[in-house]
Amino acid sequence: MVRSTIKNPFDAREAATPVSPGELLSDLSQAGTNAPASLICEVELTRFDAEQRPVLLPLLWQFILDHRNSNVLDELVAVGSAIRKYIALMPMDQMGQLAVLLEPGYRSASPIELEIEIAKMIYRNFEIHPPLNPDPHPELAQRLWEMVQAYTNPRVLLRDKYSAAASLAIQAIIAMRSQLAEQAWQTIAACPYRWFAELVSDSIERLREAWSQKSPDGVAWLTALQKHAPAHV
Amino acid sequence: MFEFAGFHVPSFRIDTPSVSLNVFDVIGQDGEQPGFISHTGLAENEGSQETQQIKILDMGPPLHGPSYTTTINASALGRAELSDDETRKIRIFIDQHASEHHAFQQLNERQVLRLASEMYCIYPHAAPLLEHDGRYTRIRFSCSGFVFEAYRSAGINLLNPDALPLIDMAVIKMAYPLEARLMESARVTPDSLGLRGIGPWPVLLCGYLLHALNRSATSIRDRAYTPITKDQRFTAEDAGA
Repeated sequence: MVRSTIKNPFDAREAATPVSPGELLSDLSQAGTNAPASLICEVELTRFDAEQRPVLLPLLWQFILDHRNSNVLDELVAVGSAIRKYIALMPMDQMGQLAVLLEPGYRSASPIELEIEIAKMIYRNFEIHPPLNPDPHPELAQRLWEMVQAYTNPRVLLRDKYSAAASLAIQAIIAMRSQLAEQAWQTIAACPYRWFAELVSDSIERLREAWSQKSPDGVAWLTALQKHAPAHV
Repeated sequence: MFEFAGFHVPSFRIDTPSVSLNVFDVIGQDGEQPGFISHTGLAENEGSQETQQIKILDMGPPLHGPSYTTTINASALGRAELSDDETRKIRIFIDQHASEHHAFQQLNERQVLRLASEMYCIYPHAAPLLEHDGRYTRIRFSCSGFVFEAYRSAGINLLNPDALPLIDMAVIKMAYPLEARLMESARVTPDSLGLRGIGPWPVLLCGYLLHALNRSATSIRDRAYTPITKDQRFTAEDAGA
């Protein structure tokens, strides 16, 4: 696995040459699905305008589909980068499309690192744009629920990164105001680990804060959900 | 000063070739001036380690998470005697954020220089990198902000970020010498790092964290520390005070 040789990024002497978003988009179009990881990562950090975003999104989506099962670390880092950018830019009403990335049984299991990125970004999107109506993407919520069921098993939850994935999946289900939210919330009650319940409960408090000025309906719904609070929260 | 009930060790200067660590101890490194803490991170492993090469998780930049750890020549150490639950919450916080920053390991120097302010911020200590409509792909941290937020995720509010001393550009240059060079060469603007106007700014400095931890384990959890200007430094006189 090749890693960057940068020892201290701020020590470089050479002047940085600006590259415009248009040039980056052109480079990505030409490279297609063989785009180098560094290009994808640079794209993630660049802001694109309203005309460029519709061109960028299908390129990122294809890159994600083509490389999500890679076992090369650098490629997975780039896929994570593409996932974050894609989800942060995609139209909110098309988020159901993401369910395909969480389907079990596709060629090989999705790396846990990518599942974390997907669940996290779903949560963040709905944190910023609360759903106008409850349960906007039931199939996506179902895929997240499958993650919750698999990863909150006490034998799994303590393993590296699974608790991060499980907590983010619960947060995402709740942020979508899914019909599965109450079940997800009750899962915490059944979990033998107090820290996990506290972790999710704290994150829901932050969601309430984020929604407080944007979505009175959403806040009322969260309050009702929290009335079913797990005993140890 | 030892708190025997919990065997709590307050923050201390490290003046030995090796030091015994707990996971996620807060490690501080002096800048050019001895005692002025200019970098901080979290100890990755427990056990005895060489002081000059302690493995840490830190906001370099880029953020060095698990499997991308870096080493630090440690000058000081702060310890909260974390419980297993607190340790786990900090680990989850790192797992949730580290991959956002792994991407930077893919960039070459030219790209990193150009995109420095997309990775890192000085003020506030943590800030999302926003897209056009307010959505975000990552949280940027300062090095002290990363440590502060990691502990906060475990329910430990080390200090009050809304009551920080104001510091001017001269102190910024001591605390962030590399970023200062980038600003001087106009490669990044102070604005892009969060330093708007002519200052001074209430920036969260690394030394404050060591002072916050230089209290009893109970105080650390019960009451957020309010730093004062001289807490920029953490000297032998401060240790155990």
